[in-house]
Amino acid sequence: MAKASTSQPTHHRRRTQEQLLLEYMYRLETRREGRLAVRISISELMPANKREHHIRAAINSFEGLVSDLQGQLFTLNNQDLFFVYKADAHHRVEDVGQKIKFLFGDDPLFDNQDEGEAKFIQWFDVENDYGELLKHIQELAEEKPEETKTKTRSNVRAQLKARQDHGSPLTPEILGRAVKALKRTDLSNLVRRQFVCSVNKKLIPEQIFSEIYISINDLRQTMLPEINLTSNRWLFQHLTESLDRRILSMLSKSDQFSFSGDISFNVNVSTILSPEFMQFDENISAAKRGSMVLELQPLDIFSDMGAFLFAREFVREKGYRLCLDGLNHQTMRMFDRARVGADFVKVHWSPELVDGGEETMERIQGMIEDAGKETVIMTRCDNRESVDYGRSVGIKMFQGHFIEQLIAEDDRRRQLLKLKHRIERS
Amino acid sequence: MAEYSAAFTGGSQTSKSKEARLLDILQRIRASASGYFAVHLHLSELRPSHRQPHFIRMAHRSIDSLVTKEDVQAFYLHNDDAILLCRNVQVDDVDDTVFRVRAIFHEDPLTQTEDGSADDRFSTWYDLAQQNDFKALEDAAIELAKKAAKVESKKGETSTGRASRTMQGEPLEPEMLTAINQKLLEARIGDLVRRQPAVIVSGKGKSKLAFREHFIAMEELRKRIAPKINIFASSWLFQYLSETIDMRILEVMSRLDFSQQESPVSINLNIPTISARPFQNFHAVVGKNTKNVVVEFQIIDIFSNIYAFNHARDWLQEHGYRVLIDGLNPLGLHFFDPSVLGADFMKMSWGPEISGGVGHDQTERIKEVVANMPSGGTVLARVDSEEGISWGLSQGIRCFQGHFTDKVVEAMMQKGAI
Repeated sequence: MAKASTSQPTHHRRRTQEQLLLEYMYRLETRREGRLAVRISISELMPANKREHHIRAAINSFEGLVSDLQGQLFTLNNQDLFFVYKADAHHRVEDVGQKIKFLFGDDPLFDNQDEGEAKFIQWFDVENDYGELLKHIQELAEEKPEETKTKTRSNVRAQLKARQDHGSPLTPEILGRAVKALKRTDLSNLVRRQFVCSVNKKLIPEQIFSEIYISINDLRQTMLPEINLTSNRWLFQHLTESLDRRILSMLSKSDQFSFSGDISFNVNVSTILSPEFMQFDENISAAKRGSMVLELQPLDIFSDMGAFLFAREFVREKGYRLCLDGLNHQTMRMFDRARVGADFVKVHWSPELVDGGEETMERIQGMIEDAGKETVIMTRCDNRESVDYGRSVGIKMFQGHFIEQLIAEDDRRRQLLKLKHRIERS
Repeated sequence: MAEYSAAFTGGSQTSKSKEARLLDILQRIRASASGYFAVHLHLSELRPSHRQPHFIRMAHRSIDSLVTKEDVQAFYLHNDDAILLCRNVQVDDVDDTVFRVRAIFHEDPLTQTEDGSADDRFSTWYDLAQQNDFKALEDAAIELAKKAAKVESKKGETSTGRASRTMQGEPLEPEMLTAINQKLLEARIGDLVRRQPAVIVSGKGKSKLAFREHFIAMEELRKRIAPKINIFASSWLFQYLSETIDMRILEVMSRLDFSQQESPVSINLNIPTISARPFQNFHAVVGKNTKNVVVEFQIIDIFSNIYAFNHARDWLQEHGYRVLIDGLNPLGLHFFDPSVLGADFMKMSWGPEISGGVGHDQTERIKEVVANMPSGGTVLARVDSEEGISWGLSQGIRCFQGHFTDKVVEAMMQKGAI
């Protein structure tokens, strides 16, 4: 792997990164002179600071070195970066290290400058400390042992790969174990954040709120690497109830999770009616409730209409805002947003929309108009096309990998601007 | 009072009812009741749909947070009422709590009177330093204790009887699924299949059968395969089991002769079942008579994968089957119009939340949605009274299903009208 993929997070491939790194180390054994390595410990940061676009920016900053063939980058399972490089490039690597540190500069890890930096950036001398480093990497790779040998026949290989990428189906027994394990596993490392932004004509994003969620792919990697958690919709739905509770308990610990700005998260209706939610609600101030958006799935609303209507009144009375999540262009037109009592609706981007031509476009424009332009969020925006299309039908808010990229670019632009001002002044 | 209190506070400490304990305490503070006051929250008078256990639990939770902070005792009575006994507590603090509980139920007509006003039916306040008030609360508590005792003794009578309607047993957990599934595959099931007609009512009291739904009597099935487990405790885990139930009912249905059916049949299936082998077998048995089969899908199933639904609906309709969307609630139609899903029927349930009265705005909306469906395409199910039929008719609904309809159909069959 020459460089980390930037457009799509490929969680399922990360699993092999430790092993790839180990193989690479074996190959280096005879050619290790003049080689250095650095480990950037993203995992040491507070979860709230591990913003997707920052991590992507960190990965991107190695791009130049990789394309100049100065070294190899590995993105470990815990999001740590491991870069093995030629000694000639050491100054450039040092600069990259400082730049990345700067990205996460407000993390408490750096409250104690030197100690924090030593923890965050570890330097290795591959040539002289080869044995020690190899042992360290072997340990990393062993944490996720590879369970299959390479097969030669390509169809077997393809099947295996599919299973490794997506895992074996989730069974009730595994679900039972997972639900129990979830109660004691620390999930703070798996918490991710993605921003909902308004995007203007020049593609400059402005943050409205951010969604806090547990990465299902990473959860799988951590807890059940061989299992496809989403293979059965009903069993998965049951699992989400446990995840809800973990998110709530994490959000209650405000010392660990102080997210800036307004946030949203997914909950089941049954979670809102549970003692855990009551407790969560009691622990947060009235002002904070107004900054929180609860995201509900239509599936869940229909599962017990009475419970939904009750829960809706309860949370709105308390001052929370509601978002109807998981709609697409077909399901969205069935709902009357205002009557649902939702402040926002999320509708998935799909390239199909463009194929639908004028007629679809007009229909969607009408839908957006009916729902209220200020309330519709287009999600899963992976490319520029999604934002262009969304804007053309009147959508103003967007979420997705492409938006995270826009945020990263915007950050970079601002930094450059700051630097420029500083230079001009001096 | 003394003899009542003896009667109702007797027995061992552990078996004492909340009502009896309240009486005990009233007895103790009688001589020095200054500084005491009480608030009675009449949760028992909420509409049935608002008295579900988890709603009541939420109310208790709001009260509990006051109990931990102040010198307040809370008594949660057998009928869901709550009585707060407060000593030297600021009225404002208690007010806050009462307000919070009131807010939880703010949709209920019971809470729509002003707190503390003369016509307030939600809460009653007692200043226990006043003899009149003390007596009034005591009388109320005695009344409640009597009722509690009656309920308790009734419980004893019926628990051995066959009429324990409430779902009992251990809640379903993921670990139990495999074993239950296995039993589902093995159990005898043909004798548990029930039929219920859906009837189209047209002018002048004439009726005709729209279809007969074939379904498995779930409670009886539960007794057969998992007598100690409440398989309905988690809707998601039950859905998981329903995929196996599909296979079994298709097996039974495949024994029918569809060329001889005088009226169409309907069956409830999961969407993925349509592409599974047992349905394909069933399809072969149905042959050319697909117009005699209605396939019912649950709305939650549709939302779990709308593309799969589109595909299944198209395939079924192309082959002559008709598609019904089940699991709707009239209250949901207020904000949701399923007519764009392209089904032949939609079905919603009649229930206490409707019989209690629906707002004008909501009624208008329901009429609109019904009008968007094909004529006779909206089914009102679980109709157990004539009231349900007349409500339905006033919304433009013409197709009905439920115990009440069953009786009508029976009578008509005797007269030879069907």
